[in-house]
Amino acid sequence: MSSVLLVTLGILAGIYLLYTVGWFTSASRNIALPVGALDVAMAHLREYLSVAAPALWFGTTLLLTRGQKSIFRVLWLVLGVIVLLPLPFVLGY
Amino acid sequence: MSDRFSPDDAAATPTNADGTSTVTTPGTSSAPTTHLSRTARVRRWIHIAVAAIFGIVYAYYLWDAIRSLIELPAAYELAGLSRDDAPWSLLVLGIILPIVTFVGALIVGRGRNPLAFALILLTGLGALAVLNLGVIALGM
Repeated sequence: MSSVLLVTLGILAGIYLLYTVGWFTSASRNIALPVGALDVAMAHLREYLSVAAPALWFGTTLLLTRGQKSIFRVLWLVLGVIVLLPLPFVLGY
Repeated sequence: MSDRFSPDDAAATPTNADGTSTVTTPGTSSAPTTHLSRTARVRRWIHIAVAAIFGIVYAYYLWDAIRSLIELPAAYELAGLSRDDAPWSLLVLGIILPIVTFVGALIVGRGRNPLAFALILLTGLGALAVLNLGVIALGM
């Protein structure tokens, strides 16, 4: 692993960590409260999943792209940075 | 790619340029080949089972989005607002997201071992949850 790749992965890991904090912060503030047991359960599941999503994406990508070209691994992680942006946190919810 | 299957799974029936299959008659193959294809069949069924289990959760969020698409404009009307005031683009986006994430996870996980396939479907669910909450935040 080259030092450039190592630094890149470190920066990306930092962003993913910040995303986790962002999702954790906004998960408890979610004001869209459904009625009904199933809907409440699924709304909670969605919150747990949103907090776990950055770690899941980072871990899955590193695990399943082992032995592949570095640019391929980094691009998957960059895609995650775009997809997992904590919009509720950014918008102030 | 160590976690991908051998080619016997995805490319079980090689086809010629004119579209006809080169492997046509079952039962004429030798014993080891039959054993391999049975393993491939079992793998396929495990894949379908894993996809179905996660698919139920994806399907709930799709159903939830369809319900919002029907109920929210009606609620707008009840509140004395126009149906045109409803966030139509976000409501439609909510329906597209579960489909895109599920199909995306199926494509990325195609031909991988069941554990990796399940992990990809779980990651897809995480992405769906994040995007769903993003859409809700945009609508507030």
